[in-house]
Amino acid sequence: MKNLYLHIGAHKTGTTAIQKFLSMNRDNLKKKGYLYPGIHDAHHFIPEKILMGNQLHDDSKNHIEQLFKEIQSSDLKNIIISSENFENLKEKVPELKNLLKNKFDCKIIYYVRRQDERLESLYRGNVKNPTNRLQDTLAEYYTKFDTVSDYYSLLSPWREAFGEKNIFVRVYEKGQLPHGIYQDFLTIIGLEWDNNLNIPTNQINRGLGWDLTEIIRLCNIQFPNDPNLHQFLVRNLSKVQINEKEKNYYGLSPQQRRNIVKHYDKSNVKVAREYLGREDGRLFYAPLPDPNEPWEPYEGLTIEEIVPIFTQMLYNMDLKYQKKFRKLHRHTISGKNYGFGKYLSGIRLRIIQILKR
Amino acid sequence: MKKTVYIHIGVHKTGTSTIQNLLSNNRDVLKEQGIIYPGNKSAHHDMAKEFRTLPLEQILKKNSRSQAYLREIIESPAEKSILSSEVFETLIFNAGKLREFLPHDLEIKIIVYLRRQDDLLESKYNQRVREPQIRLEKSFTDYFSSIGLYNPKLDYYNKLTPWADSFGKENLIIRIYEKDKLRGNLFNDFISVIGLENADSIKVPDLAVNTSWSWDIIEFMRICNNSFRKDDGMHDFLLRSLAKARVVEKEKKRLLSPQQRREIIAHYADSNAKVAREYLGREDGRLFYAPLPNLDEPWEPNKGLTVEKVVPIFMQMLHNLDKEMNKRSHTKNILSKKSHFFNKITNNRFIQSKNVYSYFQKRNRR
Repeated sequence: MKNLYLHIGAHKTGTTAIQKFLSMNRDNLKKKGYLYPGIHDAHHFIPEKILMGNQLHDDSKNHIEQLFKEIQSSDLKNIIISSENFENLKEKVPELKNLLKNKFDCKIIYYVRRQDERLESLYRGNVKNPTNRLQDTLAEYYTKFDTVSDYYSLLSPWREAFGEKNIFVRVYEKGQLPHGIYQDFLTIIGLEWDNNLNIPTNQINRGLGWDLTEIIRLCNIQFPNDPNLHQFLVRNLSKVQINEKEKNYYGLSPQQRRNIVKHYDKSNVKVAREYLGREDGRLFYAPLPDPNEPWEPYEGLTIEEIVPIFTQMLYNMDLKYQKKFRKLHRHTISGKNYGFGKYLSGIRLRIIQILKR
Repeated sequence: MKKTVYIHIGVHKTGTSTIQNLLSNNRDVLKEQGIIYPGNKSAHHDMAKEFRTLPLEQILKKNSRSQAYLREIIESPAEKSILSSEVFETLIFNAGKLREFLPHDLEIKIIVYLRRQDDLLESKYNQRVREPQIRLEKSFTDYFSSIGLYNPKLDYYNKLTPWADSFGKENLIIRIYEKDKLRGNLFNDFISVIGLENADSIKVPDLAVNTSWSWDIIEFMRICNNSFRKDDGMHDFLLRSLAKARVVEKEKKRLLSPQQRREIIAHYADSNAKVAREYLGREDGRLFYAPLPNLDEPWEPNKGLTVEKVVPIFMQMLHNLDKEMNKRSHTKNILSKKSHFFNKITNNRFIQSKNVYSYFQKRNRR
């Protein structure tokens, strides 16, 4: 029986980076006996198919069939499948199990992140997300914190379906990932680090800073029905590089963050005891924020922040058009010369032809 | 009769670029009137830089820029010649070197324009934020406190002494850069100094060069300098697009308060008075005639940028970008039309060059 490593999330725990890493190293992994099927970075179509049921057009069905064909025809023992959208299946997990038809020895990999950090990250992601285009401020978003993620109840359908010993919970926290996320993932699937592996160079799906997020949010309010503008903003603002002095800045106050962590405390303790076998019930090792530590609420955009951002957007646009024009110029000029040269040689040949006659 | 060489040595921020632009644009006209402006560049900064950095032996070699200019001056039949660069101003310790370099059968006159120190300080700040090699990030208050109320670099008496020692006091022509003091305008003043008789044929450029920018745009640039310290392309883009941006101002705002300006003037008063007495023969010791800043005049510190100021600047930048792109797409259309024209000829049924060409190519290969 083949091993199937199912990486199911969660959102905002470096999933895009892991997927990019796996897809970049497909050939390398094949040599080691691991198959990362398909040609795309991730396998989002599987959870999509299950969630949407029959509403979806046949494309994704074909995708799944193709995927199983590839898995069957391959003689590699280990298969990796990754999509953070598996996380959303919840009560539909048995459907996934039916789809796999007991053919595989399944191992579920799930990364968890402390809920206060996750909430901030989700907030920024939702503002950036082309379908959500969130308009709320962080303070408004905070009021819904009880819907963020109860990891214990999220994991229980998976436990019922695949068994407790097949679920691997990892903690997405700097102190608990001493060698970085890629190496951590490799050790779970039973591989060792190898210098031949490629690491994605540029940071992937990097969250935008607070200032850039705020600009997009303001535009979401002004232009709620303009996805093209949203796309333009995300594309251009991601290229903007500003001095990020606010790297360790939290948009939520220490007290708010404590509230969130407290809300999920019971669930987190259960996860730590039952899935990680930690007797003390500590899932996250990072210290809780001190309620008295100095903190200032986010003040919104100031001129000093807006000016460099907008200037850089304009500058990037200018560069882009200059490049484009240069290319076009070269193209037409050379095309002209080529055409004219051809024209002359054509006349010459024509004359020769006439003379030969 | 001895040939005369006028050396215009600055100082910085007294319209030097404008004068240099005038001279280099009128090389031919000046030549007809017996004045040469050697070389083909707008100014002689390269010569001044040689004197600042190289030892005299090396400058005396035949291939130096200074030798080339000197040869042009000596070989030309013209009686007068002008060398101009504000970099000469910085040659405090090297004025003697310049004297040694120039042959003694030439009569040397040094032209220097002076500007009151409080004005100069603001203008210098304006320049340093824009200058590609400097890209100042300090706010004006920080810059001012780093310079201090008295700075020997702005002490004109100190500055002129080595020049007077090497070339003689009588050969220093000192002009005051002050709106009322200049006869007519800067051009006419300079022309009268070099003794040009027939000035009508001189083409006067419409625009002054390297004018100082509005403080709002300078502040804008400073914020960008702060964020993009190492990005040359960015600085170039900013210079290009912000130079076109206009800010409506009724009157040029002062960054220094009247009180501060008075203090600055007081610190240089002795030195300025000495210059007036010894070089200009003014018994009263008044170098600058403009009235002292009035302590009661309304003044507010510059509050920096506001949304009301930033928005129009951005809109102008966008507009300029758009204009440039339209221009480009226009040339693009012309280019593509041209290539279309040639394609039309080459695709002509009568010629059918393509087929013939490929036919012969194939045949030759066989």
